[in-house]
Order: sequence, then C-alpha cells, then structure tokens
Amino acid sequence: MSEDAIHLLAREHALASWAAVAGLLATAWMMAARPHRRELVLAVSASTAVALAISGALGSMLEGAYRARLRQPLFTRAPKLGWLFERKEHLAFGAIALGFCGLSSLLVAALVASRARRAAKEREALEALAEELARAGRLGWVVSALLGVAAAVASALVAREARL
Amino acid sequence: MRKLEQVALGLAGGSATAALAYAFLRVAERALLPEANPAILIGVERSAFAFRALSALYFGGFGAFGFAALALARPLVAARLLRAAVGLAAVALVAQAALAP
Repeated sequence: MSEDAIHLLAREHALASWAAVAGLLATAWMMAARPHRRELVLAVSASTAVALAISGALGSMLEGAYRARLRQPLFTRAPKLGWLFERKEHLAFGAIALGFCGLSSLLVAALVASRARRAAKEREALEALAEELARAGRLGWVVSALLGVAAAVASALVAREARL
Repeated sequence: MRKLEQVALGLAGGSATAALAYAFLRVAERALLPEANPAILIGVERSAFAFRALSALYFGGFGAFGFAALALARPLVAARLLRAAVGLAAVALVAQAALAP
C-alpha cells in the first residue's frame, strides 16, 4: 500500500470511528430518553452499526501498516502509549461485537413487540420477552458506547505521539 | 418464536459470545504463548489481532447456533441468558484490557 493510501485510510478510519462514537452515544441516549420510540431507536441503531462496521473494516486494513511501521517505534519511544493502543484494539473489537449484539437484540424486540400487539392472547408473555430483549440490547449499546469512547480517546492520545 | 426472530436472537447471542471469547483468547495467548517485547520486535508477518478476532468470531458462531436453538425452545431463558452474556462480556473485556492488554 502506498504512503498516500495509508494516510488517507488513517484519516478515514479516524472520521468513521468518531462518527461511530457519536452514533453510539446518540443510540444510548435515545434508549434512555425515548425507549417507547422503538422504530426510531432501531433506525438509529442500524445507522450506528453501519458506521461501526466501516470503522472496523478500515481499522483492519490499517493493521498491517501499523504492525510493520508504527508498533516497534511506538513501543521504543513510549511503551505506555504502545500498550494503550493494544488496549484500544481490544476495546474496539468489543465495541463492534456488542454494538451488533445490541442491534440484533433490538430487532428481535421490535419484531416480538409487533407480534405482541397483534396477538392479544399471548400479549403478556411476549411483552416480557420484548422487554427482556430490549434490556439486553440497551446494555449492549451502553457498553459498546463506553468501549468505543475509550478506544477513540486512546487512539487520539496515541495519534498525538505517532501516526501513519 | 418466528424464524426471523430466532435468527436475530442467534446473531445477538453469537456477537456476545464472540466478545467474551476474544477476552478469553487474549488471556490464554498471554499466558501460553508470550510474545517478545514489542520494543525489540522489528516486524511480525502474522497478525495476532486478526487471528484472535477471526477465532473469536468462530467461537461466536457456536454461540449463535446455541442461542438460536435455545430461542426456539425457551425464548425468555434465551433473552435472560443474552443479557447475562452481554454483562459478562463487558466485564471480561474491560478486565482483560486492563490486566492483560
């Protein structure tokens, strides 16, 4: 990969990551402030999941260049920042995985809630199931937001010292 | 539970399992396959992160099938187990990042 391509990818990855963090925080806020707006929350969650996927894909493309050019000099100059970046990778994987977990849970909750509205007889059981799934979804997104923010802040701190 | 709901719950469970598996894989890697000091390691061909991420997704696949099967038989139990898995994955990831980066 050329130098220009790597610089471009690094910038795009940073943009996509911060967009994903904004989406994560928006999703977490919406679930706390507007929990009854299931369809809107699901739409925001889906957009955030796309941003997370793009950020993760760009990060994966940059991993080789980081390993070849930046890792050893970073650990030599500033080992604490090197380990911070290692932590960032772990937190970012968790943010993406739990973000998609949250999206899938909310999708099931929306489908089940929609079915509960139609089936009056099974209403109580299905609403409990929908609430349980929505709780799982909310937890997944909140955790994903926290991990995403931590990863993004860690990246920004490392980028002050070294960048591709 | 309908088919689409079952598949989506399976995907949710698989994602949580993948996150949990990632944390365990990294701890196992640090314990059983210690790497050299990164400050003296000029370059490594194999991406440990990619291998670990793909392995975690592989184990996540097991979780996906397990959650999908449980969703068919006991959907409420599957939903409660999903919430527990998310919480456990969160704790495991944060602990692993803090103690075994």
